[in-house]
Amino acid sequence: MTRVQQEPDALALVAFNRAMGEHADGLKTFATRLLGDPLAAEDVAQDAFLALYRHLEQVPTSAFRPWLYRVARNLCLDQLRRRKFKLRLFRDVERDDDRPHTPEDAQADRPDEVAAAREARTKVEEAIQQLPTRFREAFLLCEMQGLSYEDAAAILNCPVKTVSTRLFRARQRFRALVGDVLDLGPRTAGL
Amino acid sequence: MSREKLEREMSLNLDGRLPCARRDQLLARIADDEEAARLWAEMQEAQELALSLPAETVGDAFADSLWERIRSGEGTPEAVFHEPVSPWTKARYVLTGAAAAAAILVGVQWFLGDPWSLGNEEQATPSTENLVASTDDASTAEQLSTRDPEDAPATANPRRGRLTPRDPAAPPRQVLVQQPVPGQLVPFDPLNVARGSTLACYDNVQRLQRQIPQIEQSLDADRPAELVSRVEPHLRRIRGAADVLRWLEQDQLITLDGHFLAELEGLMRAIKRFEDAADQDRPQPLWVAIDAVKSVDVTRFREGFTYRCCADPDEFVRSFQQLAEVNPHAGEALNVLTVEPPVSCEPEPQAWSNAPRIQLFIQIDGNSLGWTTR
Repeated sequence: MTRVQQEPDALALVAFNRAMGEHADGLKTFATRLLGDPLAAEDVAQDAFLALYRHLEQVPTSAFRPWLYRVARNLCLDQLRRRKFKLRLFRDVERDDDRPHTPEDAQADRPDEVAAAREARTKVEEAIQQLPTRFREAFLLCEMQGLSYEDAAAILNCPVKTVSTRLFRARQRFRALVGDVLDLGPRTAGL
Repeated sequence: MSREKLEREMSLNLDGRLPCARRDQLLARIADDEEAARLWAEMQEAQELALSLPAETVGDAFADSLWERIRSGEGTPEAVFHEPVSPWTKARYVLTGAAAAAAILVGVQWFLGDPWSLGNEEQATPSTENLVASTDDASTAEQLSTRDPEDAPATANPRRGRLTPRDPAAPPRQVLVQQPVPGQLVPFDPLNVARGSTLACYDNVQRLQRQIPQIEQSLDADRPAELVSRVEPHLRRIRGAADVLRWLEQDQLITLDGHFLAELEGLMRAIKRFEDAADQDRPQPLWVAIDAVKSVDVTRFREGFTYRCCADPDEFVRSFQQLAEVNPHAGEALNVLTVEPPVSCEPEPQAWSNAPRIQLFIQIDGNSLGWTTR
């Protein structure tokens, strides 16, 4: 690991703290869905911010978000490559009873509604994990994190048209995978 | 229109990326065709399903733990710089390595008095344009061009084997394809960021506006925590995108359209009130945020900004040339390329011409900056 001697100035520190407040959760969400492991994802998010701090002088404030996501993506893919990580559900069926209740659970009228909502959510998570990595990246960045095609293209180091195509393919496959969940009707609560 | 093409158009429309005319055609098709309407509803529902997943949050000790690592002097993890390499690129590297090895073998044979000749010395010197045109071959050409003729074996034919050393005063890898530069140079990195941020505002406002009827019904059922969790991510993205646009304006890279700015400022005030009250777990500001979102004229977002041009593009190019001459180590490359007009997407100003566009790249200390003409 390299060591950096210079400390950033006060304005850069303010921007850094603000970026941490705004993007830490999103980074962890992105990494979790890529790795399938929330604990590893939090480490990835922290490594990304550490890298940003060490490169504060080189990264313009307006580019913090795509820069962080690009770094997080590199870290996730590196983990997947080195560990030959087998993507699995981060909520196994046998651990279902150990999950803490969510506010939606408390407000649902019936236990069967809670169970149905959890099953639907599990299916959605499974569907995302089953997407091929290159489609899943575009899906996570654009569909779920709300990044623009241009930002996603910078993160994935590919043309904008490629992002558009991958996102389209990801949506096609996702729809096919969650088809039975879509048939259940509206889900305004419990997910 | 085939189903595949229809789905593609719908996918682009979900992100607000369809030009107006095609969008109107698509909506007309959805209104007239039951199958298309069903598909559109399914795509929107699938999107809502994906967005309904709860987001992860970092632990309470995240920031403290990070600062501890920073204070301990821990550096950047190496894996940060491990960019994935596609199989095509790997194949190209292998082929380039094979080509470079072949070129070196040919060069060695040449000095040893190969029977076939490349002609006079001028032809043996790689031109500057060739250096830029093929960056993979550039390093090989540089090696050949900077080789000291004194190193040639005694048996080499001095007329055929000698290479003219590269002029060290010449700017490295600099080519001007066309000068004077037509049109005006605008910075395209901030332009892309501004475009992306405008689209993010448009997209998230549009999504919220679609959800408002359901949200208003649920407000009657008195479930504020759930509604806050549905609304908050969109408002956060809008605020983030708005902040980026304001920073770009402060840096004098773009000028925000007055109508767009007014819509955005109103929305920001409502978002601020929503965020302040959400911290205190009060449901009333949901009404404020929802009313603000309902009243936004989202069409204003398509004309969100104009960009600032460089005062004199030729002076701009000359300045970069001087930079490369004075300090060739400060920048890695200065290239000017002509490119075909790219595929346009909203918001694309109508003023952009269809003439070939010049793009100007410079790298300083690993950061890439770019400008394009309009």
